[in-house]
Amino acid sequence: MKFSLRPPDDVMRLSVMGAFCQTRLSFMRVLLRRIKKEQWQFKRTVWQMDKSGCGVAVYQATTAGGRDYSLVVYAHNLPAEQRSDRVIATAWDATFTLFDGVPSTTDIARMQKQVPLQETGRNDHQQLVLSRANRSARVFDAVVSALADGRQPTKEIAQNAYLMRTTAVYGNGKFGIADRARISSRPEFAQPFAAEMLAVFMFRQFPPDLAEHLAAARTPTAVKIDADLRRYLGIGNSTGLGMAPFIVNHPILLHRWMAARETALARVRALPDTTPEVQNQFIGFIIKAQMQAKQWRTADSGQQQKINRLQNDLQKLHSHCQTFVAQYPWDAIYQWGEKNLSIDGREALTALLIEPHGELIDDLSAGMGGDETFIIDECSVGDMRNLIQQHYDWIQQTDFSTEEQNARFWYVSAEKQEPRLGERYLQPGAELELPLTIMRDMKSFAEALAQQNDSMSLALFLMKQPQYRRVAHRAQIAACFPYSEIRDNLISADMLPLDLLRCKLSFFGATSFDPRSDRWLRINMFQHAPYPYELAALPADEWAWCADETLIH
Amino acid sequence: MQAARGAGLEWGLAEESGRTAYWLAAHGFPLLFSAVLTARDIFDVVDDEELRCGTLTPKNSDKVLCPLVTGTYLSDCGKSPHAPRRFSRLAQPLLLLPFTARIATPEYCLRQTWASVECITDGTNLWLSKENELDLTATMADVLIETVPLPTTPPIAHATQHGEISPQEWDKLKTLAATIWVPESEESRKFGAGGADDSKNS
Repeated sequence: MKFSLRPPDDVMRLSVMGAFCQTRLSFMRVLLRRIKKEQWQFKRTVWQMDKSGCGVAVYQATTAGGRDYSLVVYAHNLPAEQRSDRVIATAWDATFTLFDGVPSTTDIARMQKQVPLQETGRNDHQQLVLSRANRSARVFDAVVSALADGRQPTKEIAQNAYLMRTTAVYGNGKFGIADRARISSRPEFAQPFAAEMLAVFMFRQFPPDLAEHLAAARTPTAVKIDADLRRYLGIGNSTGLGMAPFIVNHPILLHRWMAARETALARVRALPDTTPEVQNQFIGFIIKAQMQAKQWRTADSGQQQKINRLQNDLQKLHSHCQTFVAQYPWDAIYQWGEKNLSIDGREALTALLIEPHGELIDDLSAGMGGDETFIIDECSVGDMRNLIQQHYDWIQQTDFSTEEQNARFWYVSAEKQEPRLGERYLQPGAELELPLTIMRDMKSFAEALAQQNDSMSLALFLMKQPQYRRVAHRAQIAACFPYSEIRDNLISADMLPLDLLRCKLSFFGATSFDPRSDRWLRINMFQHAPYPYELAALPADEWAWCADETLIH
Repeated sequence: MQAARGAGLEWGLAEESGRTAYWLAAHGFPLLFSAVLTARDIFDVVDDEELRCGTLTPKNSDKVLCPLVTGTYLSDCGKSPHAPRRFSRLAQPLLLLPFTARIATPEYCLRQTWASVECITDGTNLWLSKENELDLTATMADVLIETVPLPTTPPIAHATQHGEISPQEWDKLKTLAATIWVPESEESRKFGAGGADDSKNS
């Protein structure tokens, strides 16, 4: 039996996308599977750090093909009063870059003058990624003190599962670094954001290395962090509206990510039977998910409600899965989930169903990359009208004559040079609105087309009315890529930007979503994963649902 | 893209401008965008009859064709036999080249000529000849696009994946881009990012 994919009307909703969890297809996991399979080599080649924690470190990766990538980290020991996670900050505890190759001492010295400047520095095309991180003020110093005292910092790390937090991870030509086109043909970077994920994965080793270095500088009897406890640490990240428009502005890529996930689910549901071994694996993942949900910390009341619902749903799921039906057992569980779980529970179930079926679905990750090249096909006004009727029936439900449906506008902040969300009727700047108004513009386009003769060439129409060119392009994309459009109004009063962020971050593989408002949040990356130097000896892909109650209480 | 939008182009055209700038830079051509983007009077509406004849000429003799509007039209027509192939008084003809390259394929190889410049593309590679270096950056010329056989000689240019831009051109584009940025206000500080910095708390 072949199962069709869940329809875009069910999936491409912000409420659903905002409930996504990481899966086997998330980019962090795909990267680690590749590194393990290809037996990449990692080593720390430079550690020039003074007693205060200032200096340079270089971590080097060598791929199976013999290509080298070097993470060059500059540590700065920032005074506490200068520490800020805001994107406009001008100083950080650490700044780093992923260098294409092995940097010479001249390269390291040259970049040392530029990388710490971040957005205002002059970077070059040998740099693939540019980023920075701040120490977690709550935990970092306490961990150093514990190590210096000769004890494991278990209780300190229990408060916060990372020692440093990145605030922006720039790739793809930003601030002079290499354009993605330079590396996109390399197999290791075929996956979206693979260079950024590699940089973060390599950087994750730096904070514990630095904490141990500072503790040893304080006292010769300092201890190192135990390997298990070290693995509990991820890399934190503060992220917000700046990343939200990406999935709207890359409709083909969004489709590919969503289609891979939905195809994976459909393949699992189409399995006619299963084995006790896979059943046990599945139940094991449910238990781990329950533990993870229990350890999920947030101060946000809305997120806490989602976590509570998830905990309740996972308990129900665990109870339900005491027995499996003989025929199409996974589909039966999914259908039960649709009837009995919240959206958060259902999307967690989706990720869990995929989890024990790596051999069946891991190949789908190969289809999640690619570019946005799409040329408008020659067609008539009538063709385009039909196309909109067929693929955009969902825009009819929204009445844009109301203030509520026009309440927000997206814009580029002059101060931050990043996308932001404004309140149309409460603040100035709406005339400079970014075109994330897909529903409203498509409706207007349909109305304009209705005024024209159906036989008119669309090319001519767009030449005369170029304001519709962008939505015409999107409509043709939607006809070929059904998961390309988010089927909600992105400027309505009740739109939650966090839903956009969570969707994108789940595809990265982030966990521990911790909203700090309705517009930005903190996450953890690579928590529980093996470190680069451990990958040869440890499994590459058993960490994502990990939770260890015996270690952290 | 932001610079093009800042210069007054619609978003769809501004996106095309960004792609065009990228293509030119990647192929080592000089960027001349700010000159085009600031010359507002080059946008001129053509009539339908002309288009059907395969030519495009500004209606008023004192006007020139915009290469971005013309290029997107060329791209939208794809391989249509009725698409215009002859453009009179086209501003910055070099800017049309990325659009020509976009619709060209090895099976549908195209030659774009203007002044003394003759450029053949199969979509990926370029064969370029020019008698006068200045013609490459001509501010206005008549342009012809026609199908030709795939050359048998090696191409002379392909994408380098990183391009150069003069600081002066960069400054002009940045100034244009800045015109679409929204300055901070009391209200935007309240709503904009939706949160204060609380790095001190964790």
